Amino acid sequence: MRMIHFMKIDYIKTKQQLYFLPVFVVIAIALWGQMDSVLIPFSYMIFIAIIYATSPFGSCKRGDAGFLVLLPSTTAHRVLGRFLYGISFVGMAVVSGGIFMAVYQMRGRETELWVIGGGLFLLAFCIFIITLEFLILYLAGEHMAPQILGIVRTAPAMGAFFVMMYLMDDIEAAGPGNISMIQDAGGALIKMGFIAVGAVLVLLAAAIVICVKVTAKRDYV
Amino acid sequence: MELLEVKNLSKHYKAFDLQDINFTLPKGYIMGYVGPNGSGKSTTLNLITNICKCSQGEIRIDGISCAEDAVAYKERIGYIGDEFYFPDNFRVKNIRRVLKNFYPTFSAEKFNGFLRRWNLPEKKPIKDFSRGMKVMLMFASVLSRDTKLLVLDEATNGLDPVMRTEILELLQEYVMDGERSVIFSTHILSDLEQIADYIYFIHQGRTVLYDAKDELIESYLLVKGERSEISGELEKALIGVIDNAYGFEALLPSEKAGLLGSGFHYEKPNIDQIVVHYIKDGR
Repeated sequence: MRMIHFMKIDYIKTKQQLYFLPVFVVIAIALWGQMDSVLIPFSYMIFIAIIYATSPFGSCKRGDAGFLVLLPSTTAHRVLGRFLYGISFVGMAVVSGGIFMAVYQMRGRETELWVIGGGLFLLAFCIFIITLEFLILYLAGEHMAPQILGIVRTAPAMGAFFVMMYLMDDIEAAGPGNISMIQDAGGALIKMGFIAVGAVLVLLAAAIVICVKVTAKRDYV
Repeated sequence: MELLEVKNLSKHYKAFDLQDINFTLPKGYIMGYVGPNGSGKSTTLNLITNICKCSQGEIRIDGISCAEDAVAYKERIGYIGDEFYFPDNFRVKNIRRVLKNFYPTFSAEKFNGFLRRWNLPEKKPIKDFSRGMKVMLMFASVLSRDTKLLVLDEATNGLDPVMRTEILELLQEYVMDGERSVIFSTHILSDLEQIADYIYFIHQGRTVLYDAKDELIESYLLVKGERSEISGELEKALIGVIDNAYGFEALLPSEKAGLLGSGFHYEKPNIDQIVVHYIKDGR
């Protein structure tokens, strides 16, 4: 329960940024209107998840330690709480992806297997980036310069989103023969996607252990 | 029964070492932890609260170390620092919720009672509170649950005399049941004069003095006189000789009072004077 309470504290600390979340959902829907693929709004939501996942790091100040570090808990509770906060946004992206797919089907369009496979790869990529960012932020200390923090938080997410846009353009530009090749490999893509998600979850668990160990040795002043 | 036990505590930084701090604080007592800026007071208190990790040594509160049971250890501590520690965008209701979630002994009724008693506004963002209001909010948060040890690090800095007096009264009330203790660092040594039972004096990371306050005051004399009248043996015994317009002023261990001739004036020193002369002496 204590880690959930720490997650709630991070939600309170980042409350003002959360107010903008609906705006990003609207942008995702608008992008979907422009490019007819579930992967586009989903990749945008992944982009948002990566940015939001690390937002509590931006609101850390040294003085908070007298309150937060002294709350009756272990280091593992604190670190797990923050990881939970980050992963909750991945959950939000997955749920929104599911909603996009459902709406797509209600409109009489079927989501192809390769799109689901692509979505799983995006999901694995998202968890991988968040894991990497958390590792960097915990290893460097939670009180890094805001400029560096800004780069660590946004660069991978923006990179991922623009690569996705570029790939979608490429797929559309490829001839019907190439598209049918991707479509045929849909089942295999899904399998590989699940393996990728499993692998990054293992990495995530290892990163949590490292972050707990590093934080347990850290001084807060 | 000891509530706080600090054994061989050391902390090494690049430019500063806290070395071999040892003391115990019995239940029901207040300890003043004093020393000049940069002497290691906050470092010691941060080690006690586990905000910093010690390089060596052991700290136990009520017999429990943080390594053995971090939750039970932290539940026993109420900490108030010089710096306001609640996150800037918190409101009073957020603090109440967090305390309720984490501390089984937290009483929302008590907390609300303190808010009313000190006129702390519920709706105003806490970042807009005055310094005094922020300190009182920190006190409300620690006094509304069952702590065993209050750790105060310059908590009364910047408060007006009325508020400071109220806090000193609160601390005396806090230890009255004989089960709880306070360790209190401050530059306002007159505050300690009023409430402390023990004094721990630290300078440059090392222990200078540690004793019951009354015994400490009894152990020294504050000597004044003409510099020319100081004999060889007396000169060795005097601590922290300070020259002034009327001659000199220094501390002398009470047991060496026999060295004083008729040309000297002497009186009981206060804690402030003991500290100042020891710092001057550099021992």
